[in-house]
Parts: sequence; structure tokens; C-alpha cells
Amino acid sequence: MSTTNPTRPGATGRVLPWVLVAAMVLCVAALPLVDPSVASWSLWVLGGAAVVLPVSAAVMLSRAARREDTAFRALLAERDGLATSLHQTAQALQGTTAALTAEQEARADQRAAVETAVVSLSRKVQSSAHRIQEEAARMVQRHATDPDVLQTSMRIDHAAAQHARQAQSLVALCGRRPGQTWEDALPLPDVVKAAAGRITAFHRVEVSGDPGLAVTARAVEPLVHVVAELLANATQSSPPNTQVLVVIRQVQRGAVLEIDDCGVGMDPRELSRVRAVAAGEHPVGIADLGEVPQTGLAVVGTYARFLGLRVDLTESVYGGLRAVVMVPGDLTEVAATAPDVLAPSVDEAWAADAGPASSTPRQPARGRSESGTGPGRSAEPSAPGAAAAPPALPQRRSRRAAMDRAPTSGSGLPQVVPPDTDPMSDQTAQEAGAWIGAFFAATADAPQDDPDTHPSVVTDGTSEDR
Amino acid sequence: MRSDGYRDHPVRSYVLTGGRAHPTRNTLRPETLLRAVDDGRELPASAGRHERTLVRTCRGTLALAELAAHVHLPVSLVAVLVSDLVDGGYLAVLSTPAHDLPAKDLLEEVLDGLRRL
Repeated sequence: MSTTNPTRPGATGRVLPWVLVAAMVLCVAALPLVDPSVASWSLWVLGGAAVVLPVSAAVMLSRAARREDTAFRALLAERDGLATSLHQTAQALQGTTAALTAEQEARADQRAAVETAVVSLSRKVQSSAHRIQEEAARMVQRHATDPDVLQTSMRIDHAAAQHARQAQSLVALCGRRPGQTWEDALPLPDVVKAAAGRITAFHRVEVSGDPGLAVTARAVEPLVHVVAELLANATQSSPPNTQVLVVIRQVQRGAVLEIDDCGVGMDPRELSRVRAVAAGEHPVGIADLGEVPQTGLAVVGTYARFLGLRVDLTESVYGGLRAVVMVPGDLTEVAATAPDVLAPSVDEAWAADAGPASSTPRQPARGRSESGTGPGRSAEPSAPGAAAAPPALPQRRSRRAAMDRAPTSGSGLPQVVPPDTDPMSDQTAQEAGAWIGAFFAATADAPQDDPDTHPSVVTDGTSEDR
Repeated sequence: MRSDGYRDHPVRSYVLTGGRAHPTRNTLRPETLLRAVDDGRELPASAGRHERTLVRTCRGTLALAELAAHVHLPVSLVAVLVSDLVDGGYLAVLSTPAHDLPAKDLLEEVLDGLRRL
């Protein structure tokens, strides 16, 4: 208001006096030109003007100067006022920033504390689910011939497996690695089977294709979990009487799993959203889930980032969705041809019969190892392949097969030769039974029993005993 | 917690059998002798690793219980898998159910005799 307006009068106030001075000069210059005899009054007028004009010019100049001075002082005062308020604002802003930072830190701490609590509770839940599975396996071993016990054990095992998966999903959403690790690589078809075992409708999963590739030990658990979540989505979003088809292919840079369901698919906008989540483009934490938590694809995205998997969701040719998981080549290896163990097992009955070998220290549960479930265990999974404890029981083997297998002892059936050299003490119940079985078989069908018809006995069959 | 002898595996037993716990044949007993049928027929490409392993392990004659011990699985579970393979013609049952088992008394006498040795 006062900063712009006074400049105009000031400008005219500065110009006008000079106009007056110029007029005075003109008047003075005109004086000699006027004929004194003609009009003495005009002399008076010019003389008067020559006096009045500089006076009024001086008056105007001084007033203009005073006005400018006032305006300048007002401007100064205004500037000072503004500077003060700016300072105050800056201080307030600083205070707010500090408070905000403190608040953010407090929230981050709080969130970290909540996540730590969720992770530790989830790991406890998961390990208790695994204990239930172990007890179920022991129950079957104790009643080894009763199919009803097997049925019950399967149901318990199935329920506990889903339980463990949900708990592990929570751990993943808190940004932690799975608490469970495996010591051996797992062939890709078995990865899908393992994943199917963790969803409700496991019987709807159909696997095809076996390129002879296995997933390295450290990637087994995360990949099984990823496939399990994708299978869970596929089975839930398709009619219950349809199959979910999983095709495994080998590609130049690893392996690809394609999971197709026969559901109704998804509208394009929703599809593009879930694609980003499943590919792991944006981390989705436990706090971002919202009221209706959809954990599956968030978990998939988390593990995809951890492992460098490429996960994509597209429209399936069957009408539903197709989930494609690309497992990079550094996570795959050639699958062992002779798997050691096919499913959870309990060897205690044989270990008790094993005589000399049972004096060796009992090994803890092999295969699955959990971390973070108790004091003294680290929160991160142990290094894969570390402490691959061999089973304590002696294994029956032929010397020839053992020699054949010696260079590739990393895979295949037994890896441990019993330390004792007394041939009699190696003889286990299996061996004695096998010998008797062979004896009966040889007497039962001696004519066809030509050893040349099956020269390539890979496993420890009884043919060598004959 | 006793964890000795227990060995976990990512593939669960109910997935191997498709949820079935009862074998298609009720004649399979732990002492039933099995043998791979050697007619040059290969297992179908869709056969899983466990089926191949069972058939391969049975190249020689094995009792069901022995087979179960070899593959580290419970007898009842192996019975389900084996009876499928028998149905498919990949395994043959060598002992018939009519084959009488020795009486318990006889077995005990043999055991006592062995212990005296």
C-alpha cells in the first residue's frame, strides 16, 4: 500500500520543480526581449514569475524530499517487522520439524518393536506347528501298519502345514526371511508338491514337466512358500471342481513355473495393481495390509525381492489367471537322481535296532532346521549346507554300489559308512529280512531269476545277495 | 522334545498319496513280497520321483516292510503307494495272502533257539 503509491507523487514532485526552474529561466531570458515602453505590466509579470517559480520549486523539492524520507522510513520499519516475523516463522518451523522427526523416529521404533514381537510370536507358532507335524509322523511310525492312524496323521499334518504357512507369511510381511531352512536341494516338481501340501485344496494341483532341475537348498523354503501362496490364490479364485495346472519348464536363464487356474480372472486395473505387488515392485509391509488383509501376493512380492525371482500375473488361456515364476539360474542345479528321503520320516525304530551304531550320538532332526525359535538361536537362518548331520543309523549297501557312488557322495542314498568293520555287526534287521526275502523269492521263481535281466541295480536291492 | 530319528521333508505324505491313507488293495501286509515287473515298460512320464524310487528299489525282491525301511517311510504310507503301482502293473506281489504265516509259538521257539546260540 505505502510502498507503491508514494513513488508516483514523488516522481512528479521531482520533475515538476525542474519544469518550474526551466520556466523561470525562460522568463529571465524573455525579459530583455520585452519592449519596456509597450507594456510595463508584462515586465512585472515576468519578473514576478522569475522570483515565484524558483521559490515554489524549492518548496516542492523540499516537500518531495520529506515525503520520500517518510516512505523510506516506513519501508525500513516494514522490513524490520518482516524480518522479525520471518525469524519467528523459521524458529517455529524448526521446532515443528524437530517434533516431526522425533515423532517419526518414535513411530519407526514402535513399528520395529511391533514387527519384532510379531516375528517372534509367529516363529513360535510356526515351530509349534512343526512340532505337531513331527508328533503326527511319530504316531504313524508307532502304528506303522494302521491306515486309520495314517489318515488321522495326514489330516493333522495338513492342518499344521497350513498353520505354519500363515505364521511364516506374517514373518515375511515383517520383512524377515523364513525361519525354516532345508539342507538339501529340492527338485522342482517336489517344490510344487511341497507347496501344494500347504494349501487346503492340495488335491486340485496337477504338476507336469520335470526338466531335472532342483532348487538350491537356500531357496527351497522361500520358493515353496511363494508357490504355495500362488496356488492358494489359484485354488481360491477358481471353481472347486477344477484343477490348477502347474507346468515346469527349463529356460535359458533358469526355470519357469506357470500356474494356471480356471477362474474368472480379474479386471485390468485390479490386475495391474496386483501385478506390481506380486512382482515386488513396492514393498508391502504388515502395516499396509488394511482391513481385509490379502497377504498372499504381498508375501510373493517380498520373497521375489529377496531371491531375485521374476513373478508376473497375466490372463490365462484357461480364462483365469496365470502366474509365472522365473527362478534364476543361480538358484537352480541339476537334480539328484536318487532322492534320499521322499517325505517326513522317523527312523527311531531302526536306530534302536541298530546295535553298535546306536551308541553314536543321536543327531537332532535333520532336514528341517528352524531358527529364532528359542534362546541362543540367531534370528537369521543358518548357512545352508552347514552341519549336514548324517543319519545315525547304519545303512545297508553293497560295496560295488558304494564304490560307484563314492565320487558323487553329495547326493544319492546313504552317505555314511558305519565306522565299525565287523561285518556281522552291520547286519541290521533290514538286512536279515532282505536276505530271507531274497531266499524265498529265489525258491519261488528260480527259473526267471536271471541276474542278467536287471544288470543295473541302482539301489540296494537284494539281487547281489543271491 | 525328542527329535531323534525324525527327519523332516518339505513334501508331505498326504500329497504323495493324494490324501488317501487306505491302499486300493487290502491284501498288502508288511511281509508281502514285492518285485518290480520287468517287462521293459517304463513308468509314465507323469510318474513322480517317489514312484520311480519305489520301483527301482524293488528291482530285487523286497518285503513291503523292507521297502518302507529303505525309503524311510511308514509301512502304511508305502502300502498306499505300492498298491497303486501294483494296480498299474509296475510292481508284482509275489506272496499270496493264502500263504500261511508260521504260528506265533513256532516263531517264539525259533527266537529262543537263536538267542541260545
